[in-house]
Amino acid sequence: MPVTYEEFADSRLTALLRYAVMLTGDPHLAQDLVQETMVRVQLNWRRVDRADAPERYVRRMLTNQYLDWQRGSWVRRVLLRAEPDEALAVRVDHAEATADRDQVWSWLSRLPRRQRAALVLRYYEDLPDAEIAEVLGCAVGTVRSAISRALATLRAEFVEV
Amino acid sequence: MSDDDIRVFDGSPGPDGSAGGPDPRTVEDELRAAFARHESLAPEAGPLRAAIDRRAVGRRRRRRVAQVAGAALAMLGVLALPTLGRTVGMSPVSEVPAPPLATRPTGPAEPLNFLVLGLDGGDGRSNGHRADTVLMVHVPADRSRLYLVSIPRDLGVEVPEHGFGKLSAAFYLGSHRPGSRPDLAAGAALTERTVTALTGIRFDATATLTYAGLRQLTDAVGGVRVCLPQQVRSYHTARVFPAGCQQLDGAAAQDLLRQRYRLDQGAHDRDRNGQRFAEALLHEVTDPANGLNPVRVAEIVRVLGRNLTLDLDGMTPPELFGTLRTVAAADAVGIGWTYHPDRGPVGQVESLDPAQSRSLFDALQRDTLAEWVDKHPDRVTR
Repeated sequence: MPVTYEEFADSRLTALLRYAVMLTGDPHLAQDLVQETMVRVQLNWRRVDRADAPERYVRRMLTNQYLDWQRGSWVRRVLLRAEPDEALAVRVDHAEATADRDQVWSWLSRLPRRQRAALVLRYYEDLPDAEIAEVLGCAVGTVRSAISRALATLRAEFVEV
Repeated sequence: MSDDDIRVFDGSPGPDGSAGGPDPRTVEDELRAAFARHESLAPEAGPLRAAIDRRAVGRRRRRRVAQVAGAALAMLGVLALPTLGRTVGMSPVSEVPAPPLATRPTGPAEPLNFLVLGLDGGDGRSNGHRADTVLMVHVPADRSRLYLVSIPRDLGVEVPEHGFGKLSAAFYLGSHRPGSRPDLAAGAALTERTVTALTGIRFDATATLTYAGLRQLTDAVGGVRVCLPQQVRSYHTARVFPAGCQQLDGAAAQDLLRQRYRLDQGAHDRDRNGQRFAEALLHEVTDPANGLNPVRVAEIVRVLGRNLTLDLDGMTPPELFGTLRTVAAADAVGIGWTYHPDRGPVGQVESLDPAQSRSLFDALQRDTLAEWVDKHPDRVTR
C-alpha cells in the first residue's frame, strides 16, 4: 500500500533516530545520519515507496550510510559542512548522567562498525538473522560470525573488569 | 531464532582459555539493557523533520539548476531549446538563477507524451510545409526510458474539419495562408489534433522543426554520431552514407533524413533513421562532456529562430527539464510499423493494421509500453 513521505516520516522518524543513536552512540551524529538519509529518502520517495517494505529499505539506506563512514562520504559532507543546523540543539545531559555506569556502551564504540550494526539489529531491533543479513547486505553466516566475534570481545571486557 | 544462536556461545571459553567469563546470557542482557537505557539519547523528531525538509528543498533546487544548465536540451535538443533560452537567459553558469519550483504537489509522476514534427520545404518554397516526420515521444510514469514511436507520413487519416487525407498533409492544411507565410503553429496544432484523433493520445508538448532548423541544431552541437545498419545512398546528392557509425554535420544529417526513395522500405526506413538520429542527438546534447552552457544554448536558440516552434501546453520548463534529464540517461526504444509492400500507385495512402495499431495506442494510453514491447520485439527498431 503506497504511503506518502509525510506519513512515513510521521510514523518512522523517531524509531530511525533511536536506531541511529544505537549505531553511532552519539545524538549529534545520529541526527546528522538520519537527516542525510531522510533527505535522500524524500528526494527519491517514489523509488523508496516502490520497495516491498519501505521501512526496511530506509533502514538499509541508513545503515549503509553509517557503514560508509570510513570512506568519508557522509561524514565529510555532514561534519565539515559550513553551516551547522543551529535550530537543532541536542540534549546531551542524559549521556553525562549515565556515562559512569555505561561501560557496555563505551565498549560498543570500540567495535568495528559492521559488528556493532549487527548487534544493534539483533539486540535492539530484534530482527531475525536473515533480515539482518539483508540490511547489511551480506550472508547470514557472515552476520552470525560478526555477532559471535563482537560478543566474544565484549565477554573479554567483562572478564577484565 | 535468536535463542538458537545464543546457544552457539554457551560454554565458549574466554580468550585466555579460562571458562571464567560470565554466562553469555548476561552479555546479551547487558546489551539489551544498554540499548534500552540510551533510547533517551535520541533527539526530538520534530525539529529534525523541518531541517530535513529545508535541506531537501535546497538540494532539489540545486539539482534543477544543474538540469537546466547541463541537460535541459534533452528533448531531442528540440523540445527544450527555446524555453531554456528564456529561462536562463545569458547569465553565466555560476549565476544561473534557480528556476521557480514546480507548484504542483510531488505526487506520483504522470506519463508524458510529446509530438515532434519534422517539416519539409523549410527553405521557403511556395508550396508550403508538410510534416515529413511525425514522431511520438513517450515518457512512462516511472521515467525509466524514452519511447520513440514514428507514425508513417503517408498514413491515411481523418483530418479534423478537412476530411480524409495523408497525415503529412495535415500540417499543410493547418498552416497554409494564401499570400502570406505559413503559420507553423497552426500547422502543428492541426497535426496534433489529427494524431490525437487517430491515437486517442493527448500531447503534453509539441515541437516542430524544419530541415533548416535540424541542420542548424546539428551544427550547433558540433555534429551528431549516427550508426546505420546499412549503407544509404542519397537521392538528392551524390553522398553515400556507409553502414556503421559516422559523425554527421548539419548538411549531412539533413541529407540523410530526407532519403526514402532508395531505401528498401521507403519512408519507414527513413523514420527509423530519424529515430536513430534523434537518439544520437539526445545523447549529444545531454552529454556533460559537451558542456553545453546557457550562453551557447541562447545562441542556438537565436540561430534556430522560427525554424523551431514549441508548444509546452502548461508544462513549466523545470518540470520538462527534470523529466528529460532523468530519462535521457537510458537508451531510447524505437518502435516502428510492420512494413507492407506498397503495391498501389505512388501517392496511395497507407493504412495501419487495426489490431496492431490499437494495441500499441492502448499501451501508450495506459502507460504499459514496456509490456507491449516485450510482446512485440519485432516492432522494436533499435
